Amino acid sequence: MFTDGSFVYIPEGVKCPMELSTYFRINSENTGQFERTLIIADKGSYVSYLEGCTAPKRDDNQLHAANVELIALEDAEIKYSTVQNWYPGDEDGKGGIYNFVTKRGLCAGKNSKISWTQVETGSAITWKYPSCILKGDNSIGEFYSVAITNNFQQADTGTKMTHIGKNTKSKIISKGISLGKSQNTYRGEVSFLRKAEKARNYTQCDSLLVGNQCGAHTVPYIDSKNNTAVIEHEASTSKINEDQLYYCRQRGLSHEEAVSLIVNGFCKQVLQELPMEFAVEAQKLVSISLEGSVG
Amino acid sequence: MNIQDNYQKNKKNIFFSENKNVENHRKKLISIFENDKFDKKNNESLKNTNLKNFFDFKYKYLVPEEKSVINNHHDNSYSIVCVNGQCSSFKDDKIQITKIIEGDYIDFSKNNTIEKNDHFVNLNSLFLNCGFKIIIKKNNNIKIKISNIVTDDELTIFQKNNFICEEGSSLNLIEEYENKNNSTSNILNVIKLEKNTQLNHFLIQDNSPSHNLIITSHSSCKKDSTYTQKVYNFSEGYVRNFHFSELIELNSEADLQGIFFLKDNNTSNNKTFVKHLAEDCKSNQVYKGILNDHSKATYFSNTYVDQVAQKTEGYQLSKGILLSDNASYFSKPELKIYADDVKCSHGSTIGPIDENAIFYLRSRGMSKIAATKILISSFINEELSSIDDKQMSQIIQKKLVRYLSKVK
Amino acid sequence: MFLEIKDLSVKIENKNILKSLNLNINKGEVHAIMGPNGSGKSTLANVLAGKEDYEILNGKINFKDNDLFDLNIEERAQEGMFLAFQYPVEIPGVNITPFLHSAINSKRKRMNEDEIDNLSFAKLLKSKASDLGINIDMLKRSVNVGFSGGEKKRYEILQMSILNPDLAILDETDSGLDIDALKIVTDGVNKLKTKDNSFLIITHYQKLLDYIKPDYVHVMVNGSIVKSGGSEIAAEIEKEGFQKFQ
Ligand SMILES: Nc1ncnc2c1ncn2[C@@H]1O[C@H](COP(=O)(O)OP(=O)(O)OP(=O)(O)O)[C@@H](O)[C@H]1O
Ligand SMILES: [Mg+2]
Repeated sequence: MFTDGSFVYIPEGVKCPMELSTYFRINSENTGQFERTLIIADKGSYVSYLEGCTAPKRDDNQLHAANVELIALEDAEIKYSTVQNWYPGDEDGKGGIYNFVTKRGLCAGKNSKISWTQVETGSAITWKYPSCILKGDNSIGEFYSVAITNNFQQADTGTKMTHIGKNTKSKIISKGISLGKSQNTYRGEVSFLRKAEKARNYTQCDSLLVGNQCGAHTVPYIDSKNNTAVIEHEASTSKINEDQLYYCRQRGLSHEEAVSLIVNGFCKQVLQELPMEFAVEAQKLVSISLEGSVG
Repeated sequence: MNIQDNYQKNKKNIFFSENKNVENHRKKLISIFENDKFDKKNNESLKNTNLKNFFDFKYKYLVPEEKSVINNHHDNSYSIVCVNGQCSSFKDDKIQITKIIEGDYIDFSKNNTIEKNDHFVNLNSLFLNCGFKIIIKKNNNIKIKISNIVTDDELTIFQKNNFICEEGSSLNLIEEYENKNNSTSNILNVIKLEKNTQLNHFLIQDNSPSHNLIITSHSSCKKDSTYTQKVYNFSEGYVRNFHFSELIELNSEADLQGIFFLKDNNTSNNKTFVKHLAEDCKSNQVYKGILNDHSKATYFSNTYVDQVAQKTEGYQLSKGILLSDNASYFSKPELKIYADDVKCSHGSTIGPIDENAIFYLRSRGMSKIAATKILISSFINEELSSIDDKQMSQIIQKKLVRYLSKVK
Repeated sequence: MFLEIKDLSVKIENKNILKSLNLNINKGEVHAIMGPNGSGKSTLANVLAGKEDYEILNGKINFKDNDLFDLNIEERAQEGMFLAFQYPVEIPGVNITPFLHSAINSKRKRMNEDEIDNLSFAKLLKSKASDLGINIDMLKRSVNVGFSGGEKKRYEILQMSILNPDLAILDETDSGLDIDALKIVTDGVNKLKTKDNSFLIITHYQKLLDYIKPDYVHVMVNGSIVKSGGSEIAAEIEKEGFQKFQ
């Protein structure tokens, strides 16, 4: 099925000075896209990779099934950011992209770091769980995610952090916003294996509900087999805070502006992880995704 | 021995097997067992469960008739010694105790919407051989203490109890499980809280390594009622605590809390699940565990909020402390929310005892082991201090001290 | 009449809070309301600002020739109503500067004025902030998040001076301020005061009224105004408490 793809190799010690970016677009009707990406960062190197996705409106469903693999060797760092805005289907749930993506990262070397950041606003159905295997001692895995679903969209996304090496650290920040009749699920797994001495995880997943026909679900799996490791997990689900809305409107912002501002604030921790130019785009995208559904 | 044969062979000792509806229901259950591969990956209720607990125990169905004792004290309190899951009948103007009846069995098998494929509950329904029903009559305020005793080795108790709190009543229920013999208790409590009632339910579990306790409860709360459950698990044998609550009418509340202390090779499986089906309800699910040696624990918690259940407040907390290299803890705190005006949250931590705190205490001249013990006690002090009943709080303190004496 | 409250009765959750309340404020006037805890002062402020939790049982409010109940929260704000909250809410992740910038522009839009651009706004904000002794670093933070009690109050006044309202309602803005801050804040208010705008000041202390001279002082007890007069009333209350008004 493999249709296309790219391979990136960052040689030892090279700090890639600019963002590498790719842009995906699905044009033809009734198609599937199956690309592969492999990024290897050799010792001491650094790369930041951006992935943007859009597709025009179609009545039929299309499939996007990609596979991304990252490998970071000793002291290397890979930052992988995605802004996904595939066509989500119309208000009645017709059409839209099925976005089924496999993303895996391996922190193979000591002190290596892999950081996934994603802003998912599009697609009819998204299933996506970027993961990190933290094998090298002191390696770090991060996952920052914003997922917004509206109308009949379904997003089921999260991460998997597997701590194998000593002193490995992971951080998960997930922000889900559900509107319309959509379903938004965070599904994640954090596991500490026997040898993961002094490993640490911090997870925070928050969901915001806008409208009373949508669903927000949190399904974390937490597994510790090491008594020196510490896992901390926090989650919350609530509707948008009425007092905050009132405050903003008292200062003259419209209801819609106030919601957009508050939701952007809610996502800030994730959006600020994106490279500058992208962060601004992403903020706009967040506001656009909320349009029309508020009030 | 397979389940089908076992059932056929012992049918005459199993409750209600002459009833056609019951029989049909059981046929279905048997076919579920026969078709299931007992795949632990796909069935959460089996995770970390030793399937031997299922199939290897001796099915000795004929429960010896034992006379239970019911004492009616002056101060609206009753004490019951329930022997092999049996309780003699009793009636006064405040409470009524009878054997479990067919209607309750059928009622449960029809209306159990939670976890259809929980094998332990299905086994209980299939091999039911004892159980009682207690009704607290309207507007009474009662205290009951039940000591659950199993008399023989190799006995397997499949017990189903019904507790019904009639309108306006309130019940303080303490149940003790302290068994030393080589036996298994599979107990299902079905608890109904009518309007404006309150039930404080304490379960004190302290069995020897040879006794397996599988206890499941299904509670449902009507308008303005509150169900509070506190589990204290000091057992050295396997315990499975699965507790479910349904908030079916306005302004009701469920609190499912537990603490467990594990050591040696022991395992404990825990699950709480609250379904919010009406407006303005509250729930708490809080479990804390201390794991030493090679012990293992799982804790699943779940808050489900139906679309109509606006103004829900749901809270979950799971805390695990691993005292040894070989202990392990798995937790899965889940939120499934379909209403928008809700406040739900969960927190979960797993880790060693706080090293900074140990350091602090040692810098004040305390030994490491003393510091560890103090911190374990403080970890659960909150729970202990909330117990009003002095006598019970002392009993629990004693068990805690016993556990701590083994911590090295 | 600039603001006219007639026979206002308000209920929340089956509790009558305001009872046949009357109050008139003209352009250029400063009014103070004093009253015991729970008498309904903040409720009045919130009803004026348009908070939606209340049930209006009876009464009319006119503001600048509008029926106030025809306007929603933001329309009232854009028409020049400003409420400095007793307990300003924290809004995580929402940065102060763009927040205030959009606020001022939505007001300008309603008034058919040109929007103010980034650069001039930043300048304006900086100068107003330094007038109020607010550190520039604070302007990079999220709205009210982690602010001390006094900082929140100062930040409310900063917003007021940027939005330049026609009617400013200050709900216990003096509580939580140290003496220097009180001086700075009241200076800010006095600078803002012209013959075209009005103030409604809710306070428990006469101290504030030493700095901002009110034209009228009203005593509110149990949901209605039981006495009105000049500053001498404030002194009376300071001395004898609310006992005699109840
Ligand atoms: N949302 C609400 N639900 C129920 N009661 C409320 C609500 N809001 C206000 N009240 C009640 O209304 C009464 C008036 O409250 P309000 O905040 O207006 O008093 P206040 O005069 O501002 O008091 P303070 O001087 O303490 O600020 C109080 O008794 C308060 O408890
Ligand atoms: Mg007030």
